[in-house]
Amino acid sequence: MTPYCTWFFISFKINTCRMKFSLPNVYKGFFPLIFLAVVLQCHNVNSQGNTSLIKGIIQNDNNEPLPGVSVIVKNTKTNFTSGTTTDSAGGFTFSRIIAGGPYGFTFSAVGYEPQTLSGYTIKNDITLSLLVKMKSNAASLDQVVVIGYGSLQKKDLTGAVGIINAAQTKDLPVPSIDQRMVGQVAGMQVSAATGIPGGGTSIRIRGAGSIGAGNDPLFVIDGFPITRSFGQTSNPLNLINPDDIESITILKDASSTAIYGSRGSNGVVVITTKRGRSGPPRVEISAYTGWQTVPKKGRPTVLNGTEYAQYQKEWIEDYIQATQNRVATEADIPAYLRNPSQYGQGTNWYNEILRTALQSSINAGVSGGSENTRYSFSFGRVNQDGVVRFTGFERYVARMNFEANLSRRLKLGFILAPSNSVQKLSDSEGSLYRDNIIVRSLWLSPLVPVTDATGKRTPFIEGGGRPAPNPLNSLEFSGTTRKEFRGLGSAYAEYEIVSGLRAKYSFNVDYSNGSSFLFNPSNVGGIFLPPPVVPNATITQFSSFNWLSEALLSYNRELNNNHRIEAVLGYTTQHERAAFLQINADNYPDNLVQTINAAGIIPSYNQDVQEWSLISYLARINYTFKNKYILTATGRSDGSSRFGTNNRYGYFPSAAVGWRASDEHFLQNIKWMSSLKFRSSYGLTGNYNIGNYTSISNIGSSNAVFGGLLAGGRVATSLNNPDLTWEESAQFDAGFDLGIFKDRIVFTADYYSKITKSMLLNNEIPLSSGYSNAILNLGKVRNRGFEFTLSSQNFTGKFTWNTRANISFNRNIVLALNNENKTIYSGRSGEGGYTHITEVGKPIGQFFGYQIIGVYKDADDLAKSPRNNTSVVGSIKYKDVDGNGIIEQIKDFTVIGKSQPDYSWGLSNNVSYKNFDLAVILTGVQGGQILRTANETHNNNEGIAFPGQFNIDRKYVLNRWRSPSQPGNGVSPSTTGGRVMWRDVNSSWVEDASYLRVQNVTLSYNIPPQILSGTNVIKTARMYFSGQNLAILTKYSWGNPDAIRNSLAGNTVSQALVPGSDYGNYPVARSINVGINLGF
Amino acid sequence: MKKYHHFILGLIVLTGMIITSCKKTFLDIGPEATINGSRFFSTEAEILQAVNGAYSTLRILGVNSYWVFGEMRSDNTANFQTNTGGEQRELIDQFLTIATNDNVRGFWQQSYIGISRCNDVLDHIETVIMTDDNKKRYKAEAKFLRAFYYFQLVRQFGGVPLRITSIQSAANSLSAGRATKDIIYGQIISDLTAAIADLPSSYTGKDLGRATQGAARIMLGEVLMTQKKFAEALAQLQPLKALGYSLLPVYKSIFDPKNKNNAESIFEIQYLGSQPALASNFMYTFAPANSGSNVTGDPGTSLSLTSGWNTPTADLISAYEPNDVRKAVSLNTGYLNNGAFVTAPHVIKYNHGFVNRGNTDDNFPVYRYADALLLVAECLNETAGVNAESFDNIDKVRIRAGLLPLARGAINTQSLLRLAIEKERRVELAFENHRWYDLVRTGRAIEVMNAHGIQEKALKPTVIRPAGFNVTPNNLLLPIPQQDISVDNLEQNP
Repeated sequence: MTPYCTWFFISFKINTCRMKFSLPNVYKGFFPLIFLAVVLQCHNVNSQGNTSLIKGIIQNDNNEPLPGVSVIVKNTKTNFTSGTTTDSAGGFTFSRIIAGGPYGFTFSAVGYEPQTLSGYTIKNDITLSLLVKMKSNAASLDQVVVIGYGSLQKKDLTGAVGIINAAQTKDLPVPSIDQRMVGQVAGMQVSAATGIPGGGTSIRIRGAGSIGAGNDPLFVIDGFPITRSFGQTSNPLNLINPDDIESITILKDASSTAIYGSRGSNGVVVITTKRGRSGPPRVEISAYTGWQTVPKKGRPTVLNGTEYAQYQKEWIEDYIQATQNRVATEADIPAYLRNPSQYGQGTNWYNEILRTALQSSINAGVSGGSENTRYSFSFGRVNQDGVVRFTGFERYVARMNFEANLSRRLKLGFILAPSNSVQKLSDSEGSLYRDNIIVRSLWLSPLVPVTDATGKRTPFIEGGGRPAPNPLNSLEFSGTTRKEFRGLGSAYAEYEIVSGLRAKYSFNVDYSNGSSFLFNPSNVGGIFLPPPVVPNATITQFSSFNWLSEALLSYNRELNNNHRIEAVLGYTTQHERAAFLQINADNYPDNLVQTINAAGIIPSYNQDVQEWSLISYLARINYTFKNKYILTATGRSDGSSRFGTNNRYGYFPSAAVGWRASDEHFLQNIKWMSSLKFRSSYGLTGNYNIGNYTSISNIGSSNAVFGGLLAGGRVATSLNNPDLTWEESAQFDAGFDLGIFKDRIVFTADYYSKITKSMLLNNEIPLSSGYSNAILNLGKVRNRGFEFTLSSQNFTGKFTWNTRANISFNRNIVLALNNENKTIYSGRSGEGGYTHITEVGKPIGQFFGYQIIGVYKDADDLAKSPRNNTSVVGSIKYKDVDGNGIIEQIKDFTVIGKSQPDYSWGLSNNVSYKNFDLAVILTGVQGGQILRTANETHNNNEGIAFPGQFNIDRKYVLNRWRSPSQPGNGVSPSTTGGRVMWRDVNSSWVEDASYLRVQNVTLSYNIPPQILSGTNVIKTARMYFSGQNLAILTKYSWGNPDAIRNSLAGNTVSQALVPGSDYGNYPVARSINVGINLGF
Repeated sequence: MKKYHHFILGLIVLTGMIITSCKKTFLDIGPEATINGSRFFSTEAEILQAVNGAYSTLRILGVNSYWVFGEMRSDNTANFQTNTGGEQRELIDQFLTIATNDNVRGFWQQSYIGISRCNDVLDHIETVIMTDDNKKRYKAEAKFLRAFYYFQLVRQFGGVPLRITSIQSAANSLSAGRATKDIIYGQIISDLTAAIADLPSSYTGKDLGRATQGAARIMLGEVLMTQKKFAEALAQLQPLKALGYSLLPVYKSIFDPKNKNNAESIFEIQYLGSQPALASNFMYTFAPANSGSNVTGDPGTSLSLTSGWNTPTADLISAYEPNDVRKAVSLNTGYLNNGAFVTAPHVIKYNHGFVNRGNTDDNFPVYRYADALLLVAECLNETAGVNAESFDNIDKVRIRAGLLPLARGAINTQSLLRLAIEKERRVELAFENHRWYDLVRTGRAIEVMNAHGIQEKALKPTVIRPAGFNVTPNNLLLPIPQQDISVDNLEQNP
């Protein structure tokens, strides 16, 4: 199965054809096209009068029909041209082609190398039949890549750009596109921060460069930069159906991102959706269904009923021994703890709130068009139940793309993409972190059954633990429902002024309107608050309207063979107004009417309006000389309402050079090397995410009371900073692309160094100023690293095997901080200490806490060792970092780990044989650590009230110190004292977060056309089984080494400062799906 | 064709021009839900709002901080049971406070927010057009409040950074370091002296509750007493009688929300139960933990971790003489739960029911005339020794409480009279955040608190940490919050 075998096979076929037709140029024209086969077959068909018929079928490497391929036939003598596209069976037809010639054919489709055939002579009343094989151009240099404000052939690229084709990630049954990007592009780390259905992902392109302005990349959907970022429960990409996406381009270096100016420094993800193509209507339906489960491995383990009762009993015994110096008698032990074994396994609340959750998706689309109009319409529904009971996500998305040629030069089009989503959320990962559903299900008493003898749920879990409502009641009756309607719309006109010079104007709108509603009914209750309670509700409404007006002038020209120019000049304005309204309602008389009108009082409410605008000028020129030397220059000027009046406009230039060395004649002798290009770029980009009114001093309300009446008060709530401006990143990139064996193997390597300066730092200032923080442009962070991508067609032909692999190494280092390079402490432990530290010379947000030594083994050890004023024999023993003999917060904290990995990688393999395809995606991260901050309660072995109120980590507590003769594992402390100490972060909470994840395995089967031909309706059919997140190899004791704590604690102002912390997140599911795609 | 071509091109250019034409204001977007500060503080109405804003900090300090540091640090109250989750307050009670304690941070931060709001008023008012009388009054109110906040700070932290102008940008946010105690007191005295000159002696209607001359006088009196300047203090305190203050006949009625700003009240923190954002919640905070609705009568609150604070200690309870009506007004030793008595001492001075769930209408007394009478008694004793007027003042307070006058014969030395005044203040002003300051002012804090610690440890061996209540002169000051130590390079208290 070498390429040469294939070639012989093809040429044989061509030779046989040539004997029957006089097509002398065919053979010559095909010679270099290794993967193209043309089979000319002879048919005796009915006479078509004075014309002839041309028919053909186009297939891909796997002999699958290719719909949507644009076919143009041209008579090179008369310049007669006609075009069509293939139908869903990959077929096309030209009738009434006037005899003569020579005719040439051009075949093009996104994702495939364009093909040309030439030298055909058409004879009257004879049918010409073509079978064309098109080669996927995932690695091809002729591939057209959508970049910011235009597109380029891949060979003309000078920037570091990652590409994901629809074909590359098809049949990944996930509701949003971010999950299809996992492991696909070097330098882009997509982490599953949470498993909340419809919730956010964490995407970092070339590391985290910003401390205070966010690190999410900019998402550009069909040219529209959308402005939202990921949140715990929200995902800005929920408005697109993954199946509507044609291609995704990841812009990484400054040369590619500078065109996005003050929004480019975190990288840009350019998403292009599918368009209609000329041809008869093509209908496609795809559907999948499957189930999700939380893997057993990685579930937190707590004590079972017997163990918990035993532990509480021992807790009391040890307590009495420690405080009264006597052995406990039976009278000291409450009756319900005297016989622990009666409880058996008890209730595992964590397992109780989880379920096997179903998910399903169905999409239908129709597309087609005539020569002058093209349309594409799709509609889809996703329904994903959450693995935590009573949570879930449901979404409808429609998309309509329409384009018409009003004349040879004028093109009009519009896109409408409304979506509606409904999320059912629990309070997992919320601000009341310790009492949220997930963490609560870990600490609830296992002694209490889920249901009572009559089968009714126990409403309130008390008895041997911290009293709280049954989590199933909380989930079922007091969850939050979040609904959002969001639509993208755009209309555009494009006019070709002269050949190659186009003017385009577009107006785009991103509109959203949503609400979230939470009702706490009387029958649920709260922590320490048994039902019935007074019902209350919180309603939030939000809406935003974002418009973008864009005028572009673009020029594409190839001047003889020496010069090729792509240039664009643009002027854009963008504006957004977002409003938010929240009402807390209370004192409902009952649960019957839940709307606010039934509430007794409105204790608090809030409204906010946020508005910003941006004016930009942009320009780019990409110039290729003799196909070898490429120069790109880009610039953008952004004026933003967010920046202070003294620094309102920013300029973001970049330049890049490329050299296609393989086209130099002195390298053309190297037969194995098919292409070699060196690239290098340097440029400036920005990050404008600083809040809309941060540069001005804001006056808020703070009222007083006089004479029994409200007296309006106004106070300054923030400081004025007219110099405030964007963060600036300067990035250097150097890389090369090497193709070997006719580009069967393509290797790309990049080195980059990105320095973010004038960082928007929310700086702590002295509290005595009357303020606690101020956002200033200070500090400097560097991310630098290497990225390598390898794609290889290991086997081609009947049995194909393609491999894509990428690996990236990023080093994050803080070069400077605030004025005096003062360390930034962030996070808040259960004891009020910090959890992370950011200091010059180190990565952002290292873990910061005590270094654990063990426990005080005996009185002698305690007496001799440094200790805290709460320490007792058996309590935890930390390192005395400052050596003053006293263990105390902060002074004895030290760096105990970091979350940034050494490298991350992705590996995809696609194997196909006959009608079967197998795709396997593996991803991994190596060298990072995670801080299990959930230990704050999960290791709480002393309880908050007597007796111990939390069910806790089984391994931790069963191995605790009980007496000098029962020292346990030497790390888990006694239950009798020293309780202040371990609620601060310590080194035993730090775990290795390296992992290898089997991200996806998909086995699919293309039902052969001969079977389908009987149906006369279905032209293509494909079935697959797919498993997501199938397995994970990691040393991390819990399920998700990617977890990020979403609610910020203490004075922390930015997620970037507290990375890699697991506070008991919503679990990430494994899912198994079966799907089918049909073409009509 | 060419014409058409120009038309389209013209259209695109035109569109661009339309958008460009509004460019000047396009980027000039001010906030809608707040006000741009550069345009504020420019009219009398805005200055008045800023003055009101300077008062609003008192509300927050009143519910969150003042009782923690004025009362719970003293021997009057403690936390009744351990392990209620608010460990940082327990540590304050037991003299184990460290610089990262959130309560300390909150107290410091809110005080300085108040000071900064006063400074905003004083920095801007001069150029604003208004009548001279109003300008004087607003300035005097701001100075009164600034003195009030500094007085709280200087007594708890010692010398603190002196901020008498508001900072205009983050670049000059650093302070000049800790000023000496004397400088802070000097500022307080100068502010209060100015306030006394310009504040009205009383208000009516919608201004009731603002700072009065009397409030400034009693505060200045206490400031001077703290500096042992008793004669000067007397000069400030004695005119109070002429300002029209008098004792209410019934002790209980002083605290009733129906009697806000009564004849005895000199200054109180104003709350409004009907407005959740302006309401107080002392009843809930001071109710026993897990007492449900038994104490508050409010079925909608759990009273778990937010309650059980500021609970009367055994030695305070025993300090009330028999028949003292103030005891039953001020505290309860337990509550009935389904008919069964649960022992759990708690403050009921501010328990007058709720307006809405979690919201009460109770004001908090800061200064009242009984306090003034006892301060005068103290000044006279310090300047003249045992004297009749001191006894008279104490007796007025005692007789209202249903007690007999003090036995003059038995209290025949200056130091015995000191103790009598101290004890009377303790029970008369219990839970009004005076006890700690009285103990420090009279130099008795170390002796009293160590003795109290021994008693507490005996009563609650498992609650009090072994290192707790080891009260040394260093413990009389709180640690400066960590943020200001780190960011502002302040010197930490020993």
